[in-house]
Amino acid sequence: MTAFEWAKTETPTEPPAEFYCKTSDVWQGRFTKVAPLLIKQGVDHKFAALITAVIGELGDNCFAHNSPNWIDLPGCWFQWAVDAGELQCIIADRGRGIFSSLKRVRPELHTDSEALLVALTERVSGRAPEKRGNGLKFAVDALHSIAVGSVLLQSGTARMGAELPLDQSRIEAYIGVAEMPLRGVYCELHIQMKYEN
Amino acid sequence: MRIDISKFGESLLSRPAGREAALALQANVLRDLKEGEVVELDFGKVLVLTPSWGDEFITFLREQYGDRLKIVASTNPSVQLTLKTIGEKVSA
Repeated sequence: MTAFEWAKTETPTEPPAEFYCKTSDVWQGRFTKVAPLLIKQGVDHKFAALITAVIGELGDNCFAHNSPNWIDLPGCWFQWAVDAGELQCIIADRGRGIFSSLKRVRPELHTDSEALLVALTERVSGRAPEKRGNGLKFAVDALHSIAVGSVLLQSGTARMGAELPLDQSRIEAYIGVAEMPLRGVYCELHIQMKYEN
Repeated sequence: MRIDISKFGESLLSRPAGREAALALQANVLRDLKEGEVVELDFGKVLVLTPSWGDEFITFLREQYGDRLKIVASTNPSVQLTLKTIGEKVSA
């Protein structure tokens, strides 16, 4: 089973143990190993820092916006590897998704695509009145500064797919309708690593 | 007083952790702060800073110490972009 199949299936089973972060402490434990391992492989320190921060915000969102009210399986699927100089990273959850999260504080939203656009471009959070909602904007800005790679972000029927570097002025154009809807959030990054000289 | 933020960890993630770090800093270190003394946050040895941790940590301290809170410049892009994202500027 792939992460995407897991994210969209009606009757989920637990992901493979090596990818399954059932609770935030497991997620954070695995997250803290990413940057040191990238640097150990020779990835440029600054590059590793930025990539890891993006991964951190994406993964943290899974728990911040769903715990403890998971619909079925708690936690996230977190899978990453570097192959031939390319980082491949997948973070997925079976939570309530971006539209459901934002609809509570932005009732004028009507579609997954509208919600995804707001989440990527405005400082707004499903956890208002808490002053938060920076994570995806941060990811967009960070991915603007990365030269080679791609990003796929889907929630519900909204799907953003783009080659890097992201152009912040074209976020709306990157968003389309997915062939296969999923309830939570699925993100897949492919990023060409930059190595120390 | 300069605070080495890496003492809270190399990879700083999540709002609860950022909040806890701010509370611990205030209780264990900043209670000895002299009147008018500046607090300098030094992210120089941090490997990864995320907006969730940074927002919670800095915003809490900003509310407590206002302009006495300074942020030391860093070449780390995760620190730079986090500060930009949460609307904070380095002091020098």
